[in-house]
Amino acid sequence: MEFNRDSEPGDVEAAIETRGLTKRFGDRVAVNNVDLTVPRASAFGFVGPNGAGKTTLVRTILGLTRRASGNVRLLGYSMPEQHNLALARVGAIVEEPLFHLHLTGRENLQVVAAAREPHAHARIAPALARVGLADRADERVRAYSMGMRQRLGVARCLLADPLLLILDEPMNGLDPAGIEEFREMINGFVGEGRTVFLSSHLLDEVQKTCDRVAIIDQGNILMQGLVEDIAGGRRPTVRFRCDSPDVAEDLLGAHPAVEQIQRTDSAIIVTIRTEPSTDTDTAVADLNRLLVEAGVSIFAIEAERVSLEERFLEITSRLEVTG
Amino acid sequence: MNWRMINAEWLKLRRRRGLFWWSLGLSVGVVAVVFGVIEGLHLANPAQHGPAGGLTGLTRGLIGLSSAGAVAAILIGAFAGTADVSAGVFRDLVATGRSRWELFAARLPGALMFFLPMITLGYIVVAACSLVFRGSMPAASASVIAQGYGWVVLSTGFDLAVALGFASFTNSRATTIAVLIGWQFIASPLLLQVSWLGSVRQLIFNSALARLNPAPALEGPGSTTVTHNAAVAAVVLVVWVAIMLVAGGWRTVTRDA
Repeated sequence: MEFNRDSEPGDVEAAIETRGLTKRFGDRVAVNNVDLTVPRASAFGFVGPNGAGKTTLVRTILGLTRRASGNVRLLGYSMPEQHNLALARVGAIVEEPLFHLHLTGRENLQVVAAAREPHAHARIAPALARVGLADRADERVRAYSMGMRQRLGVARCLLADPLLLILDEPMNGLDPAGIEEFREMINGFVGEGRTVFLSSHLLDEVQKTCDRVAIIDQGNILMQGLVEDIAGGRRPTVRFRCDSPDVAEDLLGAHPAVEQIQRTDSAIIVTIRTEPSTDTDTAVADLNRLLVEAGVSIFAIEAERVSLEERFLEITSRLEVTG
Repeated sequence: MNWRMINAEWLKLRRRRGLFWWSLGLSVGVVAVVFGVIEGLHLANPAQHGPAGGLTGLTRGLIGLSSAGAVAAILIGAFAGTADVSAGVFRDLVATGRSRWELFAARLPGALMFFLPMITLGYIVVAACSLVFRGSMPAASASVIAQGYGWVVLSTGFDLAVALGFASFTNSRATTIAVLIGWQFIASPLLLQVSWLGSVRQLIFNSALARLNPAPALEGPGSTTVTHNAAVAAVVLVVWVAIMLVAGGWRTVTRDA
């Protein structure tokens, strides 16, 4: 049966949508009742520690392994019932990109293009050029570096002219230049209106690359939404550097806007209370005025940048305590 | 049937250099060497050794080619059945949306495309040697040569299909090669000698293949077989192929990718 390109995916808002998706290995629940929505034309980060269930979820979404329960829709098509329609416009790298090592890069793409629709063959050369492998395409993959294999994996995805790219740990084994190149490539894909689902344990990379994120641990989605919302979900924290830290600590600690105070060698770190009535900027200005009026010389006031990594650790450690 | 997928299967096999040369050596090299040695002995001592060719030479060549060709067929079937999974590419093929049955179905024609030219070349060597080195012996007729070719293709093609199905089922190249070569050359000849098994021995496919061999009719080797009826032999072969391919296909469809 050939794929029907006339039946393009509908104008659905979600590239991936799962409801109650569960996958078990025997008694162990690897993916637990997952509701995930990945909007179209976005870069969506999917983060979690090793063994959290990221790859299992990806494999379940793609129909590579059977689910225990729940529903999956890819580009609006129901999986696995409409898998040929759904996957026709999906390119995926699951775990590490693997190839027939005795074949050249181009031949490996020919093998996969043969399984796709007839137009896929014509995309081989442009895909190789796009990932920068046109000059090395006729060498055996056995001689490729890890970075080249990752790029060849992306070229293999492009054979589908994908509306959705699912990339599982694509930056593993890449050097900093390779990571930067990969990041630009992903941005390019999103700019073309494609959706990129980036599964990774490299939180800093996800924060730099993606606009949305979901955090998974122990098979459960703990949080999903805009990266800035999730990273900024922690209470605002401000660092004061001054000439009289002891005085400052006493003054700041007594202020009603301060929830928590911490002293380090060079600074005082203040966590601002986040009740709806509290405006962070106003609170910081009040604290500054309080110190100046008490004769404390302020050297610097710095807002602490909250990384996705810190937020992630906060969320997962909270889970451990609760668990 | 998707021609592009069959071509891709063929590509995977023909670019595997070790497999290519081993298969060619077994399909062509073995019979060429055997004919060369026998003809050399004949030329050195015509009183002791007859010519390599003639009808006897053709019969001998048929058996030699089917035996060495069986090993080549098992090697190729084992590689064709496991190539995608062992390389880790199977999941990428499944992720294209192509049905797993179609992925499996492309393997056998692709493997035959790789193997049949070799076995044909091997048979050309056999037929040519039987004619060229016949000396004063009678030459095989065109009809006998054609029958012999048909049987060699049937016999080795059968071995290839069984190996491919078995390999797809077990997903182990080593197991497939060990089990099928052990069966072909050790277990089944022994079982065929166990007379108390009676007509049950007809289920052994080697007996069915031997029954269809034109060589016994030429009083060549392999003229004794427990399968007397050609129709029974044909049914046994079809059932064996069907069982192996269905098992391999079922495993391909149901396994985690």
